[in-house]
Amino acid sequence: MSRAKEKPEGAPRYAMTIDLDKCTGCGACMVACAVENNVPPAQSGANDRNGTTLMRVYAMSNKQVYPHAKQVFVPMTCQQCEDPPCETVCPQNAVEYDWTTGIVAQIPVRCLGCRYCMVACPYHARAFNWWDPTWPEGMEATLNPDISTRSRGTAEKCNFCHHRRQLARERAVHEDREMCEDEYQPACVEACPVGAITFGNLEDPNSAVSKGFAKPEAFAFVEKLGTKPKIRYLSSQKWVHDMARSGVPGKEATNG
Amino acid sequence: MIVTRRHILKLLGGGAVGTIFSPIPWKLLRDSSVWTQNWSWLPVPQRGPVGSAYSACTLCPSGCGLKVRTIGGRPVLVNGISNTAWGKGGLCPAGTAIHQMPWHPAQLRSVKMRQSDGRFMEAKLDVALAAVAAAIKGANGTVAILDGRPGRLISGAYREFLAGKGVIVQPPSVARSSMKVLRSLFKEDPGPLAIDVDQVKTVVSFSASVLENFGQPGLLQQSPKKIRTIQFEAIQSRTALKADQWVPIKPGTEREIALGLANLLLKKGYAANWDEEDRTALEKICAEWTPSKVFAASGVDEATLTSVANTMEIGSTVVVAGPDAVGGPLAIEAEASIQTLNLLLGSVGQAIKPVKIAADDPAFGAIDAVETKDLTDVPAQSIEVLIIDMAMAGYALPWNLLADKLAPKALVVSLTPVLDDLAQHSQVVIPTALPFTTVQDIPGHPDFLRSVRMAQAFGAPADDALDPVDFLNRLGKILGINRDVTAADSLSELIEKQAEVLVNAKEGVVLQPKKDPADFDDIDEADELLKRFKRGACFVAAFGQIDTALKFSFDSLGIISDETKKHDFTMQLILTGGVERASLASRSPILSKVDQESGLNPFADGAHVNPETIANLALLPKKRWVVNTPEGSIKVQIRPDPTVPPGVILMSGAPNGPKPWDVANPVELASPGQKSWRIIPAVIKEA
Repeated sequence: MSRAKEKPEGAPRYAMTIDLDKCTGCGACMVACAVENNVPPAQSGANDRNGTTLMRVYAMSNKQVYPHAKQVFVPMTCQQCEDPPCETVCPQNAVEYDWTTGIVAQIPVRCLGCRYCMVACPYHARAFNWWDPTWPEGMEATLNPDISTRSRGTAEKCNFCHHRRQLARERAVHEDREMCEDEYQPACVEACPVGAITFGNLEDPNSAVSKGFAKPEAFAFVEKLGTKPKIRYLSSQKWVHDMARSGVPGKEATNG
Repeated sequence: MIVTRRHILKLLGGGAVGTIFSPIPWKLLRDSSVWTQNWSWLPVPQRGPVGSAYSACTLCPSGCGLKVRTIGGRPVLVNGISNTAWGKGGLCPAGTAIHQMPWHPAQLRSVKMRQSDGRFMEAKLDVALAAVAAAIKGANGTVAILDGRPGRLISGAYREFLAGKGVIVQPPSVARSSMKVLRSLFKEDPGPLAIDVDQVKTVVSFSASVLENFGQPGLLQQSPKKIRTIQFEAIQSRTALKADQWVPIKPGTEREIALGLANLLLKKGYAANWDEEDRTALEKICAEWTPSKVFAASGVDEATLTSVANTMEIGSTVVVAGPDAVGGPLAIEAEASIQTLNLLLGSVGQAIKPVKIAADDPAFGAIDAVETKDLTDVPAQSIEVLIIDMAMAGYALPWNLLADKLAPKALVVSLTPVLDDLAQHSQVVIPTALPFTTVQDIPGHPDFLRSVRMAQAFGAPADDALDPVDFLNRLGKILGINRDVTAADSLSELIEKQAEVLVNAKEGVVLQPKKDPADFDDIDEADELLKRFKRGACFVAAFGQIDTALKFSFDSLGIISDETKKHDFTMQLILTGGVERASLASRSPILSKVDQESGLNPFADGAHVNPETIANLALLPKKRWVVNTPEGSIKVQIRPDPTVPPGVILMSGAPNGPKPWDVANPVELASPGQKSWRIIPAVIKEA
């Protein structure tokens, strides 16, 4: 059944644009995401392959040599595909496409830890909890009560800070009004100091994100796979578009 | 019917097959996944009433304004607010996690004193204070307080405490050095100076990280008007990557480029309204730096230099060389040449006027009688008692920078919330409060802008954490030192006094979140100002105008202090991001997500070298190599990096990685007149 048939009339479809011309690779989005979603500090031995990070910033270069070498920083998170390969492979229905928001939701308590979803995700945007979540003594006091901690042995990914939407809706209901779309913003969007990330409803043609999608400099990584990501990257540099057609940034593209 | 064994087997087999197609196994799988995720040791976020409060970040001199989400009074999230003098609401990764700092695992929980065997032992506060007092009483040499963040209220208290008895020592500051060089270009002291960035349309930067760490993060990018950035830099820094125009240069040729640009601007008549003598003096210095000579020296071609000069318009272009988080200042002649461009462009036209202060002002410290020295000016082996307060400096000061200044058997006392590198070298360590556990006054950048903000307390300090005001009170009681101006029982009391002074002075403005700025016609009581501080307000001192009749002195442009050419080293080492990142006290453990779990920060021991250079020098990446410099050496792993210029070694400091002071003389950290720390002659040899 196609998504269009399931989608209730008037329901939003949330999406994001990330402007790679603006991103300085500071990592504030990574930290804000970890803080908001109760992701613990890196364990000893964790690295950029096995660490639990729902938003990870990669450096991607054009493979040229100085002074023609160029780099962009690519914040890579769940691409919120319209046809998510991770959803169909999950034996537990722990990944569900929420047709009321367009968000590909991860339900950690259902997860058995088989990691099929990680294999299926072409964007390497999923993380697996190899360790139990632990914080320095007392720091649990700063955990966000709107989201639970996840145990060792579960996969997870970005949910567009879905709990923030619930809060915004509750607030609107409490105040007897409709929720404004700008009341709901994921943590990374709020945290980006240079305003590189835009978030909004793709169904609203006047939203900043809709306009971003329509820009000629907008692209998705490996579009040929047909997963229809709802994250579009913006770049005015042709080489970035060329590289995005063939693959996603990863360890091989970083400084390290 | 006789039930046979066959029937039983059929029943069991059929049941087993049927069960597979029933919901039971899936239910079991699902339930088992739920059961196995509910362990008693998994942290459960605590619930409570939701609230919000305002505060300010204490981690570096930018002092960004914060909006804090609280649950049951506990901070769970911070966001930047845009009312601050330097900021548009952006936060760096460290600031984004500042609310976790009250639970920093390295928190110091008791007074420590070093024993005769060199080990630290817990001690009683009275015993520690008695030891410090005895050392001060018996000191024949200098008694000094190292004030890591001058301009605070406690800084005033330190000054009054030491008046006539010792010196206040200020650690190196790249920003202060830049302003010192700028002031040296005036024949008479022009008073406090600032570079005017409010009217800016174009920023020409010489290796300054203007798109990364310049004031508050995102300051230029979030500006409502489009600001064009032109970056002259040898390496492809993040600012170089994001600038509208990056002009690659040969390392260490900033002076030549700046003088070449000055030459072109002079020809465009930019100094037409200057004093004839000043103009002629500058023309004489710049005349030789024709575009072709600049090209030969720096690699910047004539067309590029001319086009940059053509974009530099009077009144809307600023040129910056610092502050730079990644390394030391430029050599004095390079810095002076760059600041000369600002004089030509009129972007030093605005001075900041301190508020008029009462004689008993605890805010901006009328206690100037006490001697204040830059650390680099302190004679070697002269300090007999040193009290260190570097907790709010925002960067780590290398111990060997201090060690040279200490007399044999000097007593070193650290006031610090964590057992950092300086505390490790101290004899007495007094715990102070971590960020977010105590009310703090946040001064602006004293070298640029006088402003005041307030950080709130959201957690309790460690039981033994001492308010520095209380420390001075107790020590003063033993030594018989009374303070009048800064007499108070706590920092909070001093903050109240400061509010009274500001309200009485009635100068400056109060910037407020989501509101128009207020002046002191609206705020006539100290309590009202304090209330606004708690609601995120920021006081900014009034601006003044520079005296345009002031005359210039370009003597420093002709000095060549760069001695690097004397060394027989074939490569150039450029260090990035080492000093700030090494500061343990300003980093929540969650920053490990960036340091450890992303490819953003090069490996701790990685020396990044251009692949062509690696091939030419046969530097096999799998072998261990050592980078030698005139002042030190460090073992590294070679990492091919096509973004690094040929002949350059790029090393990035990480929390546990190489420190710049391992391979460079830290005295050059921020002292103009020394050779530049940005470019260090080096050579790579097999380890």
